[in-house]
Amino acid sequence: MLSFVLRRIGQTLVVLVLVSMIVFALLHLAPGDPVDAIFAGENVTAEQKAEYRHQLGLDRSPLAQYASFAAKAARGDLGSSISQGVPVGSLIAQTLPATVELTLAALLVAIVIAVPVAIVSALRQGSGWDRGGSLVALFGISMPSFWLGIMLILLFAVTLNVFPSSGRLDIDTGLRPLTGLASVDALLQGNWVALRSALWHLALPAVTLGTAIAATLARVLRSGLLDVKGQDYVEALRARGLSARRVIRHMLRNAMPATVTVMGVRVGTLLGGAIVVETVFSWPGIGRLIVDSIQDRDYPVVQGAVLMLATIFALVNLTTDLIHGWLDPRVKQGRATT
Amino acid sequence: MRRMSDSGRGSGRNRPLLGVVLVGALAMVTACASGSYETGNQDTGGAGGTLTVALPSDIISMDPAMHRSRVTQSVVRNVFDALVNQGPDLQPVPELATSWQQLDPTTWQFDLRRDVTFHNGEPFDAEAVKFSIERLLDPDQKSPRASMLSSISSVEVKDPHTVLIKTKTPSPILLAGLAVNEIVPPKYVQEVGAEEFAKKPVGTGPFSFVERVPNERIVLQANKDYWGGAPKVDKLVFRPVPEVSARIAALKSGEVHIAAEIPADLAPTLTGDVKAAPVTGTRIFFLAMNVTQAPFTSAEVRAGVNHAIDREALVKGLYQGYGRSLDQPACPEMLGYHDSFQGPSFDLAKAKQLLSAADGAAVRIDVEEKDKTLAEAVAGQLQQAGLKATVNVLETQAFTNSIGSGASQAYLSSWGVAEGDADVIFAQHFWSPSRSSAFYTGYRNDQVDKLVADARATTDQTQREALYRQAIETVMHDAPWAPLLNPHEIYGVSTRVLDWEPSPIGRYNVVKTSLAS
Repeated sequence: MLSFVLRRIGQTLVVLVLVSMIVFALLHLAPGDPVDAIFAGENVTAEQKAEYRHQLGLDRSPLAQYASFAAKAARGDLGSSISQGVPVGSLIAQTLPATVELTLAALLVAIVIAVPVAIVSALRQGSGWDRGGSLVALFGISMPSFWLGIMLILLFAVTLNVFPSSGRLDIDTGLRPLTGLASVDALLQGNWVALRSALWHLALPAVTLGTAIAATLARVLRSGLLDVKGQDYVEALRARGLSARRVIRHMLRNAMPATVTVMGVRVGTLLGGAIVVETVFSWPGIGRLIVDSIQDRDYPVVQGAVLMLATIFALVNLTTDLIHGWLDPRVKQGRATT
Repeated sequence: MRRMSDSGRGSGRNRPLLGVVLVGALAMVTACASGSYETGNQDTGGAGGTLTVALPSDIISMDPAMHRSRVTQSVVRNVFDALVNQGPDLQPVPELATSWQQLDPTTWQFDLRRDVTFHNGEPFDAEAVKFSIERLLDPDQKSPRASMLSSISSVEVKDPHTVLIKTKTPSPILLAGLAVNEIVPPKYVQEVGAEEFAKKPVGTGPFSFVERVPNERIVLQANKDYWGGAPKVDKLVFRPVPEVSARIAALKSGEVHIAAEIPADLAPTLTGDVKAAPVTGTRIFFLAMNVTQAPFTSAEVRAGVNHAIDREALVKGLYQGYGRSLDQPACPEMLGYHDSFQGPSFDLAKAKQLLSAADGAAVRIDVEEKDKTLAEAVAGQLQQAGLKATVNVLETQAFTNSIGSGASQAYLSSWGVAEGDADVIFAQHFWSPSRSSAFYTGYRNDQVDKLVADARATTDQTQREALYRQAIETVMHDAPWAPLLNPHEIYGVSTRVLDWEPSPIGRYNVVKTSLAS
């Protein structure tokens, strides 16, 4: 088990180095640089820009710039934002919790929607329920998040005025940041005004992001359930007289490993989707930080933030592999590590 | 193995998760049941309430020296003041300086207000002015705004309430530069350092800083001792809402009271409790033609393009009438605008005849995504007149590179002229000594070069106006540009907002603004 974990951590590190190289290369291959972006549309001469580039060290060769970035990053220092002048680490620390909160809430929404749909579809395969469920899933997968988001805003924020259309928390809630997850902080501090505000703001973005994932989750879980449905042990359980609920519980347990793996891979989709949803709902997360920073060609921020997301993605997949191993002991023996 | 998964433990482990799901769902359901969401304004806190503004993007920094962004300045300017400000006609008006005079062509004397203190109690005086300007110009500060005041050679404190600013050469746009660079408290900045200052800025402005959560909100509190009178609202909150549909939604649902940057085609949707508030803008749109590339090497073709464009139709069709057509590279509020100039009129027959010189050449108009619609409309009009024009949409930085390297055959773009001075356009676009500038048409005319150089070397504004008028006539004769239009800036405003006027330069002047209940 230990060698399995060590091997996976080693692979993860190689992946992260490659990611940092690719992101660096792509950023430098893209036209323009941070100085062009800062002075876009301004009355500034080429000499003034060159001087500013020199001050920022952007006139060094790309290789030298990467080397200094990598050397610092290895020590945990991601440098400073060029456009804002603040450490990249603090920008990530300010925005990442918002994205984590949103994706966790979306995952929760997805589970609440997908699990019942998958169970009903699998148990009543071929029935109207099943076809209806598949149709809903197809709808969920096909619907672009930005469209669903705007529709939800129009209905629930503008017309019904039930939920806020944007932002994360009201002002004057008196909430102190602990974990950075507003709803969790509010719960820990017993600040009910803040909790209500946090959940209210979370509702529409979480449903928007959750719907897209719910569809995938429902389909994967449904096929997993169908795989185990006809197996002998299910018949045996039924024959032993277990209630339908207990039987479903056993089926779920056995359909889980495949589902967990697929969902681990889908975390990338979730984080990618969060970028779109964060923009639509003005959610102050790391996705918006990356989008803004790409526009500003703020190299250190893009590099740092993407590296952080890649690390999370790699860690989630490592964790799902471990969970997979725990759920399905055959994996631990090294036969199905991928 | 199967026994293990069949045992009750497996399902038992799932229970906490199920519990969390249920609690979460329950929380949402009870939350839904307990009534409608109170908007984010919380304007029950005090008599004045909280005024909330939706910005089109987040700000860069609260340090007035560390950005080059209009949105940032619109926020920063509520916490800080500058020596001078710009009036509604964009010309300089007193702010922290009560008056000024030019002692000689390169020396300016400013008399300062005596009743002003920074939010932390530090007095505002001549030392603060000297410190703020020198800080901006200090290479170690790495301020992207340094180039705006680079004409300054020294700042001298004559007495605590009088400051002398010397320029390297006569600088006609010194006041315009001072109007957009704010004064910071020397003791505080030196004490806490630049990073902390950006986190907890202290100024002399109508509002003091409370908090900033990046990408989420900036909260300011009324400065009851403001020298210009205390603001009527208690709090001023700025919220970055990048999606225009989300800004409109936030406005309509009452979460914000003012929403910036509403596109003209969406302005008619602002009805009921909200309305559109347009103001004359300070952005000039133009089609630039590279005079070193065929067919624009031909002056006839360039003149033909100018006659082929129906500018009024663009303003009516694309901007719903929210704007003005322009037939010269300046707008009426600018110093140097040519009142009696008769620019190229829309004349299809004349255009067709002139454009026949293009010999059927294909023309590619480079443009950024945001200006695509206007470029397509212009290309359509050019096609009507017989020029094979197509539109090529580029990502912002690719666009900047293409026009900067001279690779673009033609491009459509805009230039901000908030300084209210023709120098902003001419020095950058038509003056060949700045040829290395990003905006490039390859145009060069010795007469224009001399006119602009002369206008830059004197501070006699009447003389400068005359020089620019001549320059406008020459440039429009050579026609490297087809000036297009000057759109209004449109804000969405709640009808609860009283006594607020949108500003042509994007500021939020809300000292006298109040909220109806």
